[in-house]
Amino acid sequence: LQPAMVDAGVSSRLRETRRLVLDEAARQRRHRRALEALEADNFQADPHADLRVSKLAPKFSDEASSFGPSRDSLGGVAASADGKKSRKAKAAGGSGAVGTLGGRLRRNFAALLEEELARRAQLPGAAASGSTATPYELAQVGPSRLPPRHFCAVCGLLGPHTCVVCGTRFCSASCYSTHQDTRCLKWTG
Amino acid sequence: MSGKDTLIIDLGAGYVKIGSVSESEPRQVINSVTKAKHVKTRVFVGNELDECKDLSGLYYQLPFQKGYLLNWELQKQVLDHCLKPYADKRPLSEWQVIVTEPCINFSPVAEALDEVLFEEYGFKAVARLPAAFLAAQRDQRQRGVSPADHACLVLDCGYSFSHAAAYRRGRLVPGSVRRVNVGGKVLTNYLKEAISYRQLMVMDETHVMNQCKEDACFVSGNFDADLAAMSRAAQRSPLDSEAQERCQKLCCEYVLPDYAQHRRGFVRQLGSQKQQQQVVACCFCSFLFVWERGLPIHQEQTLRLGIERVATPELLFRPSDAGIPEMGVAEALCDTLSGLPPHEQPLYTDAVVLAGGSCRFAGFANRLETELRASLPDDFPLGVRCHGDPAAQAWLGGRDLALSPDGALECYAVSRKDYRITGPPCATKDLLSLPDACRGKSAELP
Repeated sequence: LQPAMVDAGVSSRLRETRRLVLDEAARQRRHRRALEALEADNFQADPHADLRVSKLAPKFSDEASSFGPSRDSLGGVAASADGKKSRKAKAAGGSGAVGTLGGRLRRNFAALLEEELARRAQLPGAAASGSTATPYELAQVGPSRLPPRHFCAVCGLLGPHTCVVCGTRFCSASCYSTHQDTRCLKWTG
Repeated sequence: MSGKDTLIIDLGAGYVKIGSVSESEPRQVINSVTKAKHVKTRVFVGNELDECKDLSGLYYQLPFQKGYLLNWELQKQVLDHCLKPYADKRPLSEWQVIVTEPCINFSPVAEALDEVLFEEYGFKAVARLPAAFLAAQRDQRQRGVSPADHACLVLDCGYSFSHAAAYRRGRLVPGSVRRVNVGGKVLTNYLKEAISYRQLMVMDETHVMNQCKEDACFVSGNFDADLAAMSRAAQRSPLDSEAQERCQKLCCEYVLPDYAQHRRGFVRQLGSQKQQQQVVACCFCSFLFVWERGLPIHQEQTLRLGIERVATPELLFRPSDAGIPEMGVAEALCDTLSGLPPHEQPLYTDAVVLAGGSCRFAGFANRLETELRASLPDDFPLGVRCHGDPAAQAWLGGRDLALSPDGALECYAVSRKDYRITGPPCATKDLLSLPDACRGKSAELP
């Protein structure tokens, strides 16, 4: 072992018990979580989540408290039937009804995809053709023909070597000691 | 229906590009209702963010999820904000609108869009068209090719994903769409992680890092050579002049905004005396310096950027760099091409149209051309075309369509009267794929 990797002054028994090695399943889970983190809109939690409107605060009517101009000024719809409809929609309930247009639009993407799959399975031609893949799934590209590159987590250059404990890549002994000192198994991005 | 009172709304997951046909370029409005950390009394709808004094720690609420418009509560707020100047001029019932949708859409999403546009806003007519289609229209009209001869490949790199699609005679070739799930959002998150791991904790600062990505990142012509040059510099080996040049181009400082003197960060090139030292310092992780001491080195906070400047946009070409098991945009274009009839393929490669904000990186077109040229037979002509700002291409295509003298917009727009008869979704989709044999009469485009 190179001097940088050995903890001086710590007994070998302690070093062994401290050593937790992630198995393949754990590494895959970490990888999946990292990929999900890449798709996240925000890292932090909602900063206004703990806001509570005081009961003493005056309550204004629906129209004044809506964020944009009220529907009437923008709707421009003169017909009485439409006017009734918009009033009914406003009364039907607050944000939930508007956001999902009365619950018809799924709130999250996974549900949308499932619904699409179910719908296609019910089409008359589905059993005959045998494939129920949606156009969305068919458009998904496959894996690259080129081999993946791995980069050192510490400096960003090519990382041919892998940390035994957590599977992170590093490029040199100095990057490895930096990784061990501070980041091994502690980084949750 | 004349094209005079037409609004073109390019409804994107990142930005809404909106403008009337009389304007020459769109307004870019951020498509989010944003919460600021220190301002608890209000939220910022769209570009109201300009009124916010402190842009650190912003929390975005996006109506789009994975590239599809699912949350109308938020989207209505942003659209109300965007449409206000136009509604003030003339009531919305007198406007007709061209609005964009993703290349492959789901019927509930399309129905919801139609319903809101016709029933909530009451537009006179709506043309719901894919952004890639509008970019293809832009290409056809800008180059002056007749519609019957036009063929192109469109690469639309947006916020949530990137699509490659083939268009022939103004219609999508069925089965030619390929989707790579890498877009501006993934690139910004990748940069945030790299900087947070190596230098300064910026995971909360999406807005600032997005600006950093736009300002400092570019696409390298040869990423492997850049890596090799930086590795040699890190090992303090002597560098030849080409490697020296690469390192100097890459290493820079990015001064973070402090909202007192400047609201947006900027790239600061390093002075020539300190360049050699900085090159080496960039390669070694400087987070030990900043993080453990907890003090900024100078008065202002700066980031040291090196290989991250090119490694971030590199994800568009090699998503496997971040562990995403997909092919990059150049390979996706080749994949689209391989599904087309072999004798027609050269027609498509002659026009590879770039659209979408993530194509704006400096050096993108050159790199795409290099990669495609290497994958195509050498007797195929190759032309990567971008008619102006990639982010505005779909909007400009919509504008060209609205202004075109042959009244092409009529084929796509559905009037409110027809909507009331048939209900959602409107049948604009049928006109956009090549007709198949079993369809009776389908409208032939001029």
